[in-house]
Amino acid sequence: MADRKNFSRYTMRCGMILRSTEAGRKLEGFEMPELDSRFFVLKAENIPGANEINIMGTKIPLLASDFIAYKGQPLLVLFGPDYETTELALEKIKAITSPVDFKEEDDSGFPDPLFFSWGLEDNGGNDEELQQMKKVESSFEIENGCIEAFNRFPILSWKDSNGTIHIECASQWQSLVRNSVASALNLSIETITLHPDKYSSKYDEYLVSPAFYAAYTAIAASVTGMPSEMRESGTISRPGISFHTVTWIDKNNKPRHEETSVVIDQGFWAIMGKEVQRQIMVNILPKYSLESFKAMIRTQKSSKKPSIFCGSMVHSASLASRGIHTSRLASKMELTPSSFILDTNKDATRFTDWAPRHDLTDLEEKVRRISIESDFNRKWSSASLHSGKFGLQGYLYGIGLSSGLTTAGFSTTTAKENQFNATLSYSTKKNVTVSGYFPQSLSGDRNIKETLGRTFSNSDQSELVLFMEGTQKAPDSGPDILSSYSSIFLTQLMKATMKLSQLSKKEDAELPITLRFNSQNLALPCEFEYSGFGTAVVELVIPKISLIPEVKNIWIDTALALPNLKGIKDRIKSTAMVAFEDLGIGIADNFNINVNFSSERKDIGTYSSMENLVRSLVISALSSALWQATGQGSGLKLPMGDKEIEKYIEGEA
Amino acid sequence: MKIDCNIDGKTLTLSLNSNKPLSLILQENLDNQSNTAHCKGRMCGLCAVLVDGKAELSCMVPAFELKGKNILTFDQFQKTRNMKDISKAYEVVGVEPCKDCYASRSIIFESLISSEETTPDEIKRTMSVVKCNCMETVDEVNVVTKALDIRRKRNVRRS
Repeated sequence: MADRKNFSRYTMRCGMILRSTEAGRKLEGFEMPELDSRFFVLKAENIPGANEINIMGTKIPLLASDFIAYKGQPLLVLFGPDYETTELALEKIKAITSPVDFKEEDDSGFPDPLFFSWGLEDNGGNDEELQQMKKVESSFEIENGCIEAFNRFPILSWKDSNGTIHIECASQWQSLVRNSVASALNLSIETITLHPDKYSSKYDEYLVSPAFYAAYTAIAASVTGMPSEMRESGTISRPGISFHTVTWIDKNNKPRHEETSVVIDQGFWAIMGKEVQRQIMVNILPKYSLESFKAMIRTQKSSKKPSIFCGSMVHSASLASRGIHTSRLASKMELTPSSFILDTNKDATRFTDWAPRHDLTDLEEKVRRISIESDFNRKWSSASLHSGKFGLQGYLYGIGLSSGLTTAGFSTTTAKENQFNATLSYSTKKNVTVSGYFPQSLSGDRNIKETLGRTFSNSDQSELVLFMEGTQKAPDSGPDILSSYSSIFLTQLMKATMKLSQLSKKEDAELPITLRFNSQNLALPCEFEYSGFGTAVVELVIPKISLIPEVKNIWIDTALALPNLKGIKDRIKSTAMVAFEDLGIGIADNFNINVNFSSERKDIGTYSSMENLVRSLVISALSSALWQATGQGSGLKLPMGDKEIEKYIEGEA
Repeated sequence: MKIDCNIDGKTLTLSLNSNKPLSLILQENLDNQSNTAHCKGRMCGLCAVLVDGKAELSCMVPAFELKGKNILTFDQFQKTRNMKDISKAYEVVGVEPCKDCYASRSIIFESLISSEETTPDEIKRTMSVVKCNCMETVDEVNVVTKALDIRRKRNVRRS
């Protein structure tokens, strides 16, 4: 029996992946060296069950069998006695491929374009009227990208004497791992046991990759009967998105009509395509009055790595496009973006099928405050005056402002399967103890304790002593976001407290009283309910020698429905820095970051997606600043390298 | 190549390629739990270990340099009293590194504390190898200063 404690590293098989170096080709076969019995080769045809993994309804092959869809797609996995020997043997294996007609237009399985409009048809329906108006155009594009984690996740599988497959891997998508392994091995899910490992990652999407590796190692363990291990980095791929917005403004500088078109490139497979479109639609809706508005979001297929549902990425990109367009409009109207927001924004957002109506009064107050704090208006006007040919300094300068609302929860919440539970007891000493399995952060929050205290004793909480102890830290990976699952748990905890309170007040109550409950996951992927808002100002310089954009100052002011967690400001700072890192933006020597955080606890059942908002605000403000610094007309493409900036400066782009 | 070294208090004789980096030896050959960084030259600074008491990035130490060296990884270091000083300093200063860089940062702090390096410039220079931005430089200086205080007091009490 291969018990976990019984096998040493010398009896293990270590796996390494052969990946494709080109996309859109037919896989004919492999040129194999002579391999002895210490090796096990896993190809698509060797997979006992289905060669696919089902991620949120989209089926992706575990190993390429016939057609190579994207560069970097796993083609073969070689298991050997140790990593060094396996690596040397893998270098000798060559994939034989041939060209094939690949039609990107064949987009079966992709969602239909999403349309939304209000007002008159065809933007007023009167071309003459439109021709008399000023046209403000902007375009913004974020390229596809693939980010690899710094950490390697070890994935280990072994088979015991009962035929049960054990998998030790870091993943919060536990059922995804178990289902993938069960379908790949053609076994029932009951025969798969998962031992979740401790893990941490900046993005939830890093943790999808272990499901693939778990399937490979489980097959190797099942076929060879030896424990099999892989050590691979998690990767996420960012979808490519391009926005094009046109607004017609009348002679009184009032926006009248607007048209927006968005093209998303999710790669070869569109995972949660409809949901991605929905997230974008929420953010591209203008916050100012318009007579008519028309939006179209189209998803296109390409031979790139599929982007696993990057909720925060599409959210931030769409908010960035809105921020840039606001800067363009403000510039045309000879206003600063902050004045534009304060003058033209309505009191509340429009109610749509995707998002409810949000009050914007508090957000405007934040915009006003951050403008004063960062001296935004003066800096913006100065930068506009000294840009382009008038710029005499040794650097280009830009400043951008953004403001926006966040979503509740996190996009990939549906896949989090932490079964939180709690036990509440009311002791003879009249103390309430809450223990169980839920995020540690909840137990440390004073607001939560106070709220539970109030819920229990109704008005007077001075008599109550509440202990939140004995809690096991639930693995809540990924970005520093408390999922809406956590918030659901809290709502249910409050209800349970209420019930405990009622039971304790009964005349015939026998103490101690104990209640136990498991929270139910009823969360939708991403809720656009009121959960917080924020503003950001980014100031950047581009030295004319290096032409690498460098951030000089950032101001971030957020009001989030989050408990005042220890180090929340550091997490906000860290999220902003990661956003810069992802887009290849440098940091200036005298860099300074100012963060203001206030806890918005209007509804305790709602938790904000902090990363979602901060990332959006930073990218949006950064894009506006970059647009101003390069003075590049209507288009902006990120990430932007020195060559692109040089082109923009010389007016070639 | 056969290499004799001492890792986490165990004397080992490893049979390895001479240029295999220590980070991969720890992960692949010894199944070290605290060292999972593999940045492929992106200089993440998350793989620090103590080599003869001095913090070094394990991905930059080739196998042939390990001969006769004492290596302490975070797996073992976290059980020591010295780590408790650092944990206490985190608590007092009110900051804590994130899960990604906790091990590496703590190891580098230990290297600074044991060499009694308290000049802010030296701390900043040494800590700049960790690319994770979860902690501010001011806090790093405060942690080292505080931990050094705690350790001195502990040593005085003991003597």
